[in-house]
Amino acid sequence: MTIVQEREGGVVATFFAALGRSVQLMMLALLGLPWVLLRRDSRQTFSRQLYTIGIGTLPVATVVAMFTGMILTLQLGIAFKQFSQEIMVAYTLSFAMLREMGPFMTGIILASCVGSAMAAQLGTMKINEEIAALEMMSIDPVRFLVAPRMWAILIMAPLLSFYTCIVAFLGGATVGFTQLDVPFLQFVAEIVTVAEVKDLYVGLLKAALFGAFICTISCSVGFATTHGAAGVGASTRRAVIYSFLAILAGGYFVTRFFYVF
Amino acid sequence: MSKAHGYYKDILTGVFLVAIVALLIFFTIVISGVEMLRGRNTTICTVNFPDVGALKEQDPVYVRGLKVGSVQSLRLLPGVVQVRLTLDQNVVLREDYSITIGKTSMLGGTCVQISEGNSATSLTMGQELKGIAPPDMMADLGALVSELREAVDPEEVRATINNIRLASADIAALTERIRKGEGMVGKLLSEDNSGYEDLASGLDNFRAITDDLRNGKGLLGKLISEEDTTYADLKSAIANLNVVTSGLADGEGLLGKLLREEDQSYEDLKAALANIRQVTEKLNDPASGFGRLLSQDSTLVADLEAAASNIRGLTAKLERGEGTLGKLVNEDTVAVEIEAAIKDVRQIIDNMRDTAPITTFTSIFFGGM
Repeated sequence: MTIVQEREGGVVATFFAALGRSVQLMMLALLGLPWVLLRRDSRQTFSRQLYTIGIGTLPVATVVAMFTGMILTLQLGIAFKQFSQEIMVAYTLSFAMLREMGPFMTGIILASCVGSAMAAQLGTMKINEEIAALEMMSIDPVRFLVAPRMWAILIMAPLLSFYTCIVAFLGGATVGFTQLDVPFLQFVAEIVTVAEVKDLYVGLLKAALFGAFICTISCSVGFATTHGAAGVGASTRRAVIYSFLAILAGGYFVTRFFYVF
Repeated sequence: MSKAHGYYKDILTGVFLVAIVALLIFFTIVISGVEMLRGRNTTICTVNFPDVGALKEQDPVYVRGLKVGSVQSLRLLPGVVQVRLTLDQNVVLREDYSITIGKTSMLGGTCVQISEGNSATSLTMGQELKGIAPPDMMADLGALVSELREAVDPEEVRATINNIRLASADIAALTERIRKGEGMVGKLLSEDNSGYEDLASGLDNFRAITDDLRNGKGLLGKLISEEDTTYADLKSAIANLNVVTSGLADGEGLLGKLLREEDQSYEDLKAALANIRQVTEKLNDPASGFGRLLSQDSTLVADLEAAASNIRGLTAKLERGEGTLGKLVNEDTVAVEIEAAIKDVRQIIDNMRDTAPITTFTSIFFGGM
């Protein structure tokens, strides 16, 4: 597949062309799993990406999740306290985090930390014609560069989402204990009681889908980078914005698919 | 990036992956209700409900308020909804069992509630059970409202509302009085503590009285106390009174005779009283002798007073030693002299008595000569 593309036609045509290339890129990256596992250099890239996506974003994810759980618990607790139903905060937090907030926050963190880095890295390689060099050497840049990132983010995004939920629960239980006088273990027990397997795994699936969106968009935008360093910056910005939009729209449709139909 | 540093990163990534995956598996096991870790023996119980309300999988099953399992699955069958329950504990159902679908809280949530029953015959395991459909609160409420609408006269409702309004006004007036500190309750609730202090003082007094009673002080306390002496005394007095009243009833004694149905004593007393009355009438009659004496016109009192005055004068003279009697009373010399004179006279008389025969003989002798 030739990554380097020149703009042809109007805005609509360009949009659909970019969409088509992105879908194609994603499919090729997914199909490149055997190549990732079999080639040593791809495995090294895959390992590095696992570390970057998983461990690299862990501090940010921890802080964001902790405070999200605390804020949600505090705000909901103030409302529920009027009805002496502070324990209902645990129910609400469980639903909110497992179904939507966990995957959403993970997607936002990954888009900000990982997606921007992918777009910038691939954009710089594009500007420096390293991608063209790979193609000249008959090395598929999608298999070599995108596939390890895609599989790494597909594995790490759901785990990060689950980790985010757990940290948010702990933060919420801490606030529930200190601010709402709900015993810590009772808060956790209520979360576990109300949590459902479907909510958990739909959330994990959603996180994986967000990861795939982020990787596809970031790599696609990075490959389409032009106009030097300024183009790299623009690509990074576009990658983050498009990822956010994809996360919001994708989250809605996934929820609608699993909970409405 | 050095080789060692890359190796360290790989280890860190691997640990993170394994830890999160393990946590995910554990969380899945916990929330799915599978007791793999504890290895509990579970039994499956099938219940057919005509309607399950909002019951869903994983909803809890309670027996006498204790969670004993959860809903495993729900299946729509012709005429019924088949609910399979996973029970963690041994629940023995009897013939008069009941299985209902209830609410876990006011804000929602459903559960299955099992009542085991009390009859002697227990059911066999594996038997299909029948559940009771949950009450449709909204439908029941609608029916109740329509029944009320049919049953209640609008005029009565208006009158009732008017009464409620009046009662509300009265309550407002009462609370206003209380707020102002008027009346007993108002004084108790007002910032002025005098009413409260009075009440407290009254309660203190009452407490003191009750303490005295408890300590056996006073007649009532003694009667209440465990010591039975007063009670025994009272019982004895009552017994005596009983004896007295029995005697009276039997006609014993004067009072008994008076109270008897036989009227002889009464008649005697009546006659005596009549006699007394006659005597007193005669005494009061100025025409009679005593009457004259007792009448205001009588000089008897004045005469008596004069006599008394005279006697008082005589006695005074005697006291002062005036006159012969006074001297006799007050002076010993006169008495001694009189006593000596009397002795002399007595001696003369004795001499005369002793000489009387001789004298008589002499007289006779010499008279004869």
